[in-house]
Amino acid sequence: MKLEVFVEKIRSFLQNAERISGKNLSLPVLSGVSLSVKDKKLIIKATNLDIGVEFSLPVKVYKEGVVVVPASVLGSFVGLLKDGEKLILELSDNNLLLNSENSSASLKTFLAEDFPSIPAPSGGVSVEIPLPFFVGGLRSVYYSASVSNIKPELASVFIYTYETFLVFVATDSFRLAEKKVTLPKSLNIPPTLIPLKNISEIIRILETFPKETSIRFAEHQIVFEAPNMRVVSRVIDGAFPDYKQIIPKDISTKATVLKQDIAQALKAANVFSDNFHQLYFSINPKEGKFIVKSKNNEVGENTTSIKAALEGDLVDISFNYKYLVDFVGVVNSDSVIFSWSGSGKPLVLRGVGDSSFTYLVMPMNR
Amino acid sequence: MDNKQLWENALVEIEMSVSKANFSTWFKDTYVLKREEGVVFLSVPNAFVKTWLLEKYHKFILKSLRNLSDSIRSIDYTVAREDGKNPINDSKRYVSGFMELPLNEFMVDKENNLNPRYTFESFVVGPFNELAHAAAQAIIKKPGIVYNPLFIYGNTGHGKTHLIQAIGNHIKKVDISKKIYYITSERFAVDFVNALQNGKANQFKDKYRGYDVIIMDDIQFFSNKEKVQEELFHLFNSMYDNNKQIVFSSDKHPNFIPDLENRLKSRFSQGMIVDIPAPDIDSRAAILRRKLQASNLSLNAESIDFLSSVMESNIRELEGIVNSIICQMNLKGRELTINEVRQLVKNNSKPKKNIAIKDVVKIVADFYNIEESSIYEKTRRKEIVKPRQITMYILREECNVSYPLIGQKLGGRDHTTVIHSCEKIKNEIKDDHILAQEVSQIKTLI
Repeated sequence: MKLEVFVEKIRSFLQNAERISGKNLSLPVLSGVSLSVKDKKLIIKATNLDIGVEFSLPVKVYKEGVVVVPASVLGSFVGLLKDGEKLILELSDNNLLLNSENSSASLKTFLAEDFPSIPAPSGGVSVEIPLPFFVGGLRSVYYSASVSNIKPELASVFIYTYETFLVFVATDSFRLAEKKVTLPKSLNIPPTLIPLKNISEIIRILETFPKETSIRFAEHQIVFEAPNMRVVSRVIDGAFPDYKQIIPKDISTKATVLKQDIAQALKAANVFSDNFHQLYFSINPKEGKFIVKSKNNEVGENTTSIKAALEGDLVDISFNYKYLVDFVGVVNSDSVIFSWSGSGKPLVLRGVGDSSFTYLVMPMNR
Repeated sequence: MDNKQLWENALVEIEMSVSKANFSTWFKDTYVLKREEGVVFLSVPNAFVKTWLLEKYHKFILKSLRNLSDSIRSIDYTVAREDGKNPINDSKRYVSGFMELPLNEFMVDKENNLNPRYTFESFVVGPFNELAHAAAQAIIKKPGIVYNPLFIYGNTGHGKTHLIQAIGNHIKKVDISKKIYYITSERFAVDFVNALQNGKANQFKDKYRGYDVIIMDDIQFFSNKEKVQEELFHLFNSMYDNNKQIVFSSDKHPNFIPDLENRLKSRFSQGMIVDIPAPDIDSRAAILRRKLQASNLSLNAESIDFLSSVMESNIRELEGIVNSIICQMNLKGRELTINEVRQLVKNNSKPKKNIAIKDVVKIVADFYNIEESSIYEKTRRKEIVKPRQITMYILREECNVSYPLIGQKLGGRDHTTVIHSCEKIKNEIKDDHILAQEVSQIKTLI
């Protein structure tokens, strides 16, 4: 195998492949990236058996062939080369030689025939969803998914369609985020659970790729396909909880505040919050007060009062800082609405004028 | 050759000819689902494995299988379902360690604290609990009128919580406007103390007085908590005066709950007090079948007989055994044999208590307020004979000490005397409620 390519052309592919490649697996070849040269193209493959990627790019081919090398070593080396340099890769005696104008390296290889192929499911539903919509939807909710794998369906982002909406939901059972994206035309896809640990890779790869990517919802897998790319992720075979019933409908107290103000208050409160990141909210609509407090016996305490439009009953409640700050980080509107519906019920957060995003947080037990 | 054996043998051959790393990566968690007309359905953990087995190892696997059985013609690879789904058990693990209230644990209704899993439909009625069940049925027809309060007592794992929660769930189902609240006594006490600390005692009172039905579990924990008892007393009175139903459960008869105020005891007795004793063997078998049925599994009659005779008292333990049987069945994909069931029970049953004979004597003597030495003496005074017989009975039943040894240690008596005493107590317990209570109390002290 021998090929020549510009460094900047191949770098991002190799770095993406490096992120995908397996770590701590019993099969060492999975920590490698497979480079195969055929029909004037270089095909780059990597997988950890949970998610797999396959990229192809045109290169100057001298000799066809396949090689598998450690992904991290190749990625790091190529990452250090300058843009505009030409890189020649050549297989010689089970070593991959890398030669650029100023530097050269020789890499040990794995047995290429042990490297698995990336599944190419053909069944299921294939749809074209504008990528910014899809990536935006994932970004809006994925941080809310559970990091524990005890319940695989909660360690996932749930995607389903209804009318012309594509809905993304994630919850770790203490908070929940739901994002509705309006599609140009109505689609019908099967409800799908994408595992959280693959989401950040999917987002990263999709953001570096052209917009004409189609998404295939196949059995056990979701596939992102473009002429020069294929990303295959396992999906979770399970049922997402019927979350709609826990979104409170009656509102007893409502507060509208500027996002900037609440962000400031949260930051200040976090400085003084205890090990549980507990913040106290005290809302008194009659006196027009919205107060955020925190207290740490070792540090001290702090109180911030926020300008807010209030209505409804008195509220005295505490929350985990982390969950609220996540919301402030993703909401697009300038001002946000807090709505309560009584004790023991989750707080509902929405941006003003933005009905597409809903965020629920459970209060903390004092 | 059954499927499991077939695949194990095939794996042995495959393991010889692929590298260890390859073998453990690609053949881990694979198993034969079924065999139909020469097609072997192989379950694989994910699509990556499926693709690779199909591409790289298919011929090889087929060859290994054919060496073992000529009739095999092809292999079908199926991706297995994701496991780790047991929402009920998981939810508990989930909550611990976090301070936040869990958001979507629909299993417990936040309004009334009831677990919708506990219903009358899932409650197995047998001779041992039919009285309690009948009382509960009467209550759901006329809450607050017939038996108020209803007091259910029985040992742990006899279904008290199930029954009282079923009452709540049923009333809720019939009349959605009824405000029902299920609470454990411990929670009630904590709530009360918190209310006092925050100066919200009135809010506390209002909250509880607003309910139509209050169900309080495990109230034996109120012993020694005078202030809480007083609050419960007032709550009770106001509920009772307004014809609102109250249901209590405890592990003992109210008269045997230590340090419970008399005014509470007498109020508990004014309604209905029923006992749920240990389930009889037929009921245990019925419960077993029902639990298995709920998971769409069945077990041979022999195993059911065996389990219902071994798992004597506690339904909760029975449930545990059923869960491990279900788990094993799902894993193996077939019914368990009686021997496998025996093996499971062996691992699950708790060891017999190991306690010195002298200590038992001391506990019994202290309980009846007599001299420890008098148990060993050759006296036939009535107040000594009964404790001595109970000592023998407990040593035999709880500690598994042999008859001759009991006789020898308790003042050199003949083993027939011991046998007689044990039989006598065993029979008397059935009719004499007070004796039964005393024995069970002594047992808890050991």
